[in-house]
Amino acid sequence: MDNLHHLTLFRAKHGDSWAFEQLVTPHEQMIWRVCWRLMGNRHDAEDAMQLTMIKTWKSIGQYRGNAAFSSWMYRIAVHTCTDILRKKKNDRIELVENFPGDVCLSDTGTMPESSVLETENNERIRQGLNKLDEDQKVTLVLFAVEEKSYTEISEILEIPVGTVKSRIARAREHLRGILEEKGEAGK
Amino acid sequence: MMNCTEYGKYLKKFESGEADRSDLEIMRKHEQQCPKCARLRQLAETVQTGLDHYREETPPAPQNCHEQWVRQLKKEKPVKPKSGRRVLLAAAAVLVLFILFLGGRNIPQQIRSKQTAAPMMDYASEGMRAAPEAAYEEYIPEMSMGEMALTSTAGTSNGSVFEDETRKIVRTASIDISTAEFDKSLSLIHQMCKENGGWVSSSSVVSKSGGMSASMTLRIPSDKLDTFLGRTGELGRIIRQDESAEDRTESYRDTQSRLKTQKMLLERLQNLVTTSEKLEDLLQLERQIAEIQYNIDSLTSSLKSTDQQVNFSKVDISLKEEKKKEVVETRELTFGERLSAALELGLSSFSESLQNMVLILAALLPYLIVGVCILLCAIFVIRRRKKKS
Repeated sequence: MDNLHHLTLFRAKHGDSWAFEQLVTPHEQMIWRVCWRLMGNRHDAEDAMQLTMIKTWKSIGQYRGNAAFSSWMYRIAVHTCTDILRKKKNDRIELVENFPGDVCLSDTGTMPESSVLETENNERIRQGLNKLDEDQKVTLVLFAVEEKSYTEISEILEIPVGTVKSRIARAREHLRGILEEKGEAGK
Repeated sequence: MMNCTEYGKYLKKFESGEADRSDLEIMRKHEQQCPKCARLRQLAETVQTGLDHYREETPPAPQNCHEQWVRQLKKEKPVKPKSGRRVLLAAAAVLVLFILFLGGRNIPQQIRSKQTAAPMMDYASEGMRAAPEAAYEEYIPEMSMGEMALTSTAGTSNGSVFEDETRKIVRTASIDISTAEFDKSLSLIHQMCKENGGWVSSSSVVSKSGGMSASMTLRIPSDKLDTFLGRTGELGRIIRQDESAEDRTESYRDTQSRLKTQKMLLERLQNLVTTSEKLEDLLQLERQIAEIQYNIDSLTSSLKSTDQQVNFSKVDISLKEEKKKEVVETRELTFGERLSAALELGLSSFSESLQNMVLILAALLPYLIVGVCILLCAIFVIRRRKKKS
């Protein structure tokens, strides 16, 4: 299996797109997940995923095998998303789409009150995430949603652990502020 | 009683999932007293619930997503590794070469090493005959005088007749030879001398209790000197071989110009003789003419002598008969002896090379310091650009 992986990697490094596809496809869902969670909407997540794949393809020659291939791709995905979020910083218009399983605030008429309240709060958190500073958002999503440790986040984002902790604390504080501002239901 | 600032620390622990049961109890007690902090915790829990929901709601990747990036992929080409390290290494190598080039030009001549190792190793490896210490040292001249003469005149086909005809170089050689077959070697010397168009200028053969010995002075045409010297190995074991080359061009030209002046003076005096009427003057002129004639003869003779020396090189040969015991010593070295000699020579040349390296490094130190500084700056700039990009 290892030999096969190395062979595929070798071929991908030498420009074999089919080998690259074989190598990357098993990690596709993982990349999609992180892109969606960091970007917060389908359109941007698709863009981020495509960009991640292209970046991975272009820079596969630089992969030295020091870390697992999945970790390397994950890092590329995170950096790609951070870059996109940073570019969108000035003209940020979030178009939150509804996916299967999502509940739109306007469709809550038939739901029980507690569920409606929870759905509203969840929606506010999601919107609040999109309003966060991109660094804070990425760090919080990696920690609270992707369930990465402080050290892992520190390595992925190439920042000190102390910075990771302070970014997460500030992001939570910010979200609490948003909820308070909008008058979180259930007081 | 805990204040709200302290509560904030517990809240952070709670949010990061690090709070244990006792922490929660402490927080709960404070919340009973402080509704503001209780509200904070409620909000924190709501945030966490929202984030948990966010995690769970991740939809699967769209079906066309795979096809999209695969299609896109075929339009792009993978970038071959830039191998920044290789670029840096190449830059460093170029820098070091540049520094070495600069430094090498400025290293004082006296600290440069003499390349004696190679000929010494050749001596050992070729399994030369066992030679006395003196002969051993003489075997490795840095450059023979003949070579020096040739080098100084930009190529030649013979010893004195150089491409630049005006050069007057006198070459001499002196050889000490030891032989077991004295008579054969002696006749071979005569034969070689004759073959090369030379002659024996002087020769003396002495018989002693230690064996026969001969001392000879040969005159060999300079253009055949190298051929002659190349064959001296056939005469026996060479104990010592010296060569010298003396450039007499300047003195030759001086003599020539003096001769010309003297001839002009002679001509003028001879003219005066024809016009002079007084006996006293005539006698005085005769004396002067005789003196000048003498000078002219002397100068002409000097020039002829120099020409002779230039055209025919002097070779002093000292031939000595070896006793049987000595002959035994001329055997080929055993492998062990050669190995030991090679090791000894290798060690000495290694230590010399090491010393030379240290000297060169010391001389290059200022350049290296500057080079390393430039390299560090380059690395810093490259990394910074990389980060920015």
